[in-house]
Amino acid sequence: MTDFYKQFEHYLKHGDHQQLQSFMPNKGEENRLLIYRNTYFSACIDILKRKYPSCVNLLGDDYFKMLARQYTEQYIPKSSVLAEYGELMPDFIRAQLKQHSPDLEYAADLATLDKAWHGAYFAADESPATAAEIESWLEDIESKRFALGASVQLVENNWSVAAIWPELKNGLLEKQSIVEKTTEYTILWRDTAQIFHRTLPVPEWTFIYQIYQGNTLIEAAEVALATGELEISTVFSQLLSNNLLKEINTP
Amino acid sequence: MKPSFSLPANAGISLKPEYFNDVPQVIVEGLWFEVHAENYLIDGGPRLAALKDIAARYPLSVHGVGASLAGPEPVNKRHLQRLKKLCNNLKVASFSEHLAWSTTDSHYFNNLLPIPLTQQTLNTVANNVLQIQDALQRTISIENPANYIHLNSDINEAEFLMELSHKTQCSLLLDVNNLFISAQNVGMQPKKYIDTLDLDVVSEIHIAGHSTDPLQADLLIDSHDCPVAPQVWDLLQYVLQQAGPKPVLIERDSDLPVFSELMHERKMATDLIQHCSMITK
Repeated sequence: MTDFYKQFEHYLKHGDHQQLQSFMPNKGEENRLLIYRNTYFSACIDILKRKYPSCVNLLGDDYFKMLARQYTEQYIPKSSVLAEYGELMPDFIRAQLKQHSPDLEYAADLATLDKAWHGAYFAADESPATAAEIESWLEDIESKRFALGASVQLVENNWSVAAIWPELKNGLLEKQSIVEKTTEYTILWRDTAQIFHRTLPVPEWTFIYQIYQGNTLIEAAEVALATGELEISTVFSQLLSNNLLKEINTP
Repeated sequence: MKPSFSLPANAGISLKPEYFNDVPQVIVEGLWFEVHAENYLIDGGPRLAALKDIAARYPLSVHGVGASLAGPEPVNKRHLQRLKKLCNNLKVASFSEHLAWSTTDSHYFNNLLPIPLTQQTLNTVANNVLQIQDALQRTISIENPANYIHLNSDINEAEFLMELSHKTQCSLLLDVNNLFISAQNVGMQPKKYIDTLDLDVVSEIHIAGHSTDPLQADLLIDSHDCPVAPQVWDLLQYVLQQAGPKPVLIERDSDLPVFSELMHERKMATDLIQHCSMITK
């Protein structure tokens, strides 16, 4: 039986059914094996299409499917939870487009936002901090360390795609937009059933990213203020009011 | 161990997130739903919350496609833990899986792959069924596959499934569309197959649409992308006449119609269950 599994796996990966024929009593049925191989690939491609809708809409269905097929050949799913498949797709798209369609390289950044949306959408549910918890945070607040909420996604992109992304995610662009090559910082989070996103200026991004890295609020503020002006209390209040923080309890 | 016979002997619908807003708020008597487990092995979010809400109002069957029961490895422990968490979090009336495999080493081939039916396979599948039943603390149902090819086997499929049920106390999920497809593709005899089964251990029935392979006209595909074919309805009638009322699921996975179309097919199934129930009485 070990051979059967090995040969079937070999067939699915490479399309070569030579060794599998010894398990098939009826000659001429080899072509029917295609149903298994085709279904496997089309199911993977379908998952990638669902996960990266803005890329599909930018690149077109056929081009995206070609990229997705290549990705599937290179990366076989490791888990039966297919929502987890395709995590490397943004990097794969970047490498492919850089080589073959450099003018569309920003599609990789759209993919990064799609992936972040997906992460936020399926993140664990969390109860908002209680008033008593928030009050306790305010004691000696500067030395407190916080984690970001489970749904928070921080995205650093190479192109300014955040403005066109929502439209592309839901369909086609209504009007021509200019995408510039410039670093763009975006935060995404889920509030009840909705996903929100906002592009961040460098100091605000830096402050939130420092918190994410486990630094104390004072440390995060110092690094952020070195990059530009920032109303730390305003940003902190926004994070609190959107339930995006939870305290890390250090022993 | 909890038995898995708690779905109503009525017709249900496979539930996709696209239909969440269509699920009737006013309870429809006898209606139940089925979802694919792997779409909900997630940490949280609106999709899981919506399913929890529906599961609190309607009986829910959870249908696994990724346990790889006939695979070369024992069922993946993380997968088992996630299934257990899902079944504990939702009010689950039934859990089912397939007589198929999909996993080797660390690869998951996202398909229900065929297996030669031998004593060795029977032992492998039985061990894996017991492993899941132990983890979930309930008996599960095992579905007959849609066959596209012949493989060198020692045991015919109906006998294999009965033996599996004897060894593990699992129930059977009889997919009538799969049986019809297998009859066309590999020459199975559906009525002989049904007569071989002890229909008392059939806890659920599936029906679905199928299509013809675009490249091979003599090959039927279990596509779940169109209404149930008349011949499948006929075969369902034969099963229900022998078995009496059973939970029957209308499966639809792609080219999704409006919800009312599925409810119309469900009504046909409900009528057939009632009609056969009167005949068998």
